[in-house]
Amino acid sequence: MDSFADKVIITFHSHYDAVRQKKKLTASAVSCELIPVPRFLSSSCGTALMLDGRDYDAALLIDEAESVNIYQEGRWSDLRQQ
Amino acid sequence: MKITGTRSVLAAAGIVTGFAAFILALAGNPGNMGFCIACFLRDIAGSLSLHGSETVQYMRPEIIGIILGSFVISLLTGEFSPRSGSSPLLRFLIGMCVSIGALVFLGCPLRMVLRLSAGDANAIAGLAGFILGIAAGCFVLNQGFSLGPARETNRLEGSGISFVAVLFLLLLVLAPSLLKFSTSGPGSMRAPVILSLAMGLVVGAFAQRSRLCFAGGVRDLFLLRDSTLITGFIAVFVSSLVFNIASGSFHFGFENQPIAHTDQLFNLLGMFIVGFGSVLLGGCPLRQLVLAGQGSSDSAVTVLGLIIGGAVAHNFNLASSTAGATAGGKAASVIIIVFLAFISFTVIAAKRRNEK
Repeated sequence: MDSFADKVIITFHSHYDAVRQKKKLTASAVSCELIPVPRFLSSSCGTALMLDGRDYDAALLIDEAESVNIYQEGRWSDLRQQ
Repeated sequence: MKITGTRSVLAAAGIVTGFAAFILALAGNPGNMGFCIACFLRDIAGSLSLHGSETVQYMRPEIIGIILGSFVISLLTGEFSPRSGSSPLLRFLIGMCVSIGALVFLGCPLRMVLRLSAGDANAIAGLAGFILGIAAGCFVLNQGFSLGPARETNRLEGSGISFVAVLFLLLLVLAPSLLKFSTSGPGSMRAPVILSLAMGLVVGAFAQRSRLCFAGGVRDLFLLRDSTLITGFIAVFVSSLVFNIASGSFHFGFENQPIAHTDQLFNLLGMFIVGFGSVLLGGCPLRQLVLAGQGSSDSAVTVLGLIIGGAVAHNFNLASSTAGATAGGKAASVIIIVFLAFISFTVIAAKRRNEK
């Protein structure tokens, strides 16, 4: 989990949404990676996008996101719930 | 090796599942069938008089245990999450298709791995079909297939299948005269109830913690080049292989394998359906039981589809026997593949229209 601590992890309702967002972000020169939804975030499977923490603003602009998660104060929080 | 903790839990879940399957087969379950989710749900359908095949009727406590194991552990860890509303009817129908495909092959993905680890070479064709089916599923996911998001629902809806599991257990223990029990054939071969239930509970709990899924492991490898989830698949295979070799139960070959046939084309097509359908559903039959236990009523509906699919497979003579696939089973396999492709491309076309 520590290796993810400086990342933003975005989950989606479908694999396709994640793939489409990766294309859009890459076109905007935002570096990101498709990963399986990490177990510490959810007991459900699926595809997530992982961005560097410095691209936090770009992550918040993704309307199709199910959740936008960052590691703060020792735990993962969904920014959409705040 | 990005998430070593996740891999360790998956490996532990795989080893526990392999061990539980070995013990259950030793204690009375059919050969290479310590666990088979599709077969056991079909046995439950028979026990409830939903089909009339007298050799495959038993209220399998393993299934009850897996659902309740997932239910209890998810309540204890705060992961119980009642959700519903993701195309329940389509899930029911795809669940039926997966069940019929599994009964043409004679096993769910878990039993396919158990068969492989015991040297049943017929399962190699099944594995090839399973991988091809998952590849087809990945293709349609990349094209935009999705059964839609589930939404939060009430706790009664989320726990409904677990209450049904408790009811089934009460029927088995307190009112067995209401159920049907095979006196010959695979349905008559069973480990003691308490052992079956205990193994189911343990496997259900481990599978919930690890997200163990036989289709998901291969899917993640294809879609994301990520090998984390397939660790569980490999762990079940390796642990079962070790137990089988150590106990002298490993017999490599095509002929005379327990509850298996040598019609390789339909071993392949049966598991193609299971792989394809499981990717559309988001998980293999074991995973559906676990998700149902942790509150997904969409997966609960899928489990009902698997039960009714098992009943249909026997009522309409679609299920294979050791003699091979039936004419009905062969026709059904082709029709189901066309049906799954039709569902996939209809959903994709609708999604593309909405994007415009």
